[in-house]
Amino acid sequence: MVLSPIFALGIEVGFYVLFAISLYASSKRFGMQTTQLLLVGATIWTIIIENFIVLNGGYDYYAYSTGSFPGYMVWVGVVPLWIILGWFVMTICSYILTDTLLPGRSPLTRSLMTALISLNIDLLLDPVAVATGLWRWTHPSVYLIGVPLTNLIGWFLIVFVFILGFETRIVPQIGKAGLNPNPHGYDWWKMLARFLRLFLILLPAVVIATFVVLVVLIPYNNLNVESFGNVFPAPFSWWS
Amino acid sequence: MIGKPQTDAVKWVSIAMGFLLTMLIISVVLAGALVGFTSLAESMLYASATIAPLALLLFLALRKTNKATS
Repeated sequence: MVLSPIFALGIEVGFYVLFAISLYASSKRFGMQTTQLLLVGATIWTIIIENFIVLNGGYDYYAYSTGSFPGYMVWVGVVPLWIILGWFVMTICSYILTDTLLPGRSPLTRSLMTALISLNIDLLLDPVAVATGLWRWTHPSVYLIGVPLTNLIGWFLIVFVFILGFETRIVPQIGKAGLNPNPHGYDWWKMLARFLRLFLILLPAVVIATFVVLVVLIPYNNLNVESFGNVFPAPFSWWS
Repeated sequence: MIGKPQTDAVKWVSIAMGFLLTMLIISVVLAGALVGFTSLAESMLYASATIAPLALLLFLALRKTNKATS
């Protein structure tokens, strides 16, 4: 059900406010340098993954688009900016909660916890988003309350891999420079380069894993095939 | 723990998490009327079941930070 365009714009603005609050909370908790590192990392991470999936016809954000207005105010490629920042909001809130509840635990346990909390938040958000047309799923899969299982597994994997990478490759390095709040700081650009190099390995792994899950679920599809029509001309949408 | 617990930081983290949770609860209450995939009762049951773990974790986190700073 598509509501008034004001609803979509309200959600977009609401997420920008949530983003500002999350950014502030994270800067207080982890320090500004680490927050910026997580923000830039998460932004690059999600821009690539989200655009890749939309271009492949997995879903789209065009329910509220009209001939003269694309539905949302700011876009990064074929994905609204609030979606990209929304990933950061969810991940950072889950990570802060995990850091509070499980301090000093292994990276694996902390990543698992962060991913489970994020998945829990998505279980709340996604049915609302689908019901109101904030985004539309357009690929064959097993659908639960309008949400494909592919998405739920994808949410878990994307957050889990991102935080695991951060915890195993970046946190030990930050630790050497002193834990935050750190008056002397650390070489931020060096850390970012390290983080991005890690993406070269992790991104293909996540994409391949998502693709495997997608293929496995296709035979059990329970969504009307006609629903796969993607408004955006997805160039790699081989199933439509 | 990456960050050093500070009273100020804890306060802001609590406010942020509380605000986020409130937004989510409002969204889900709205979903009760909007979700076209199931009945209102089932929507509310689903909403309660998904909010419960988050609320519990948030409560545990706040209790822990309060103990650490008191």
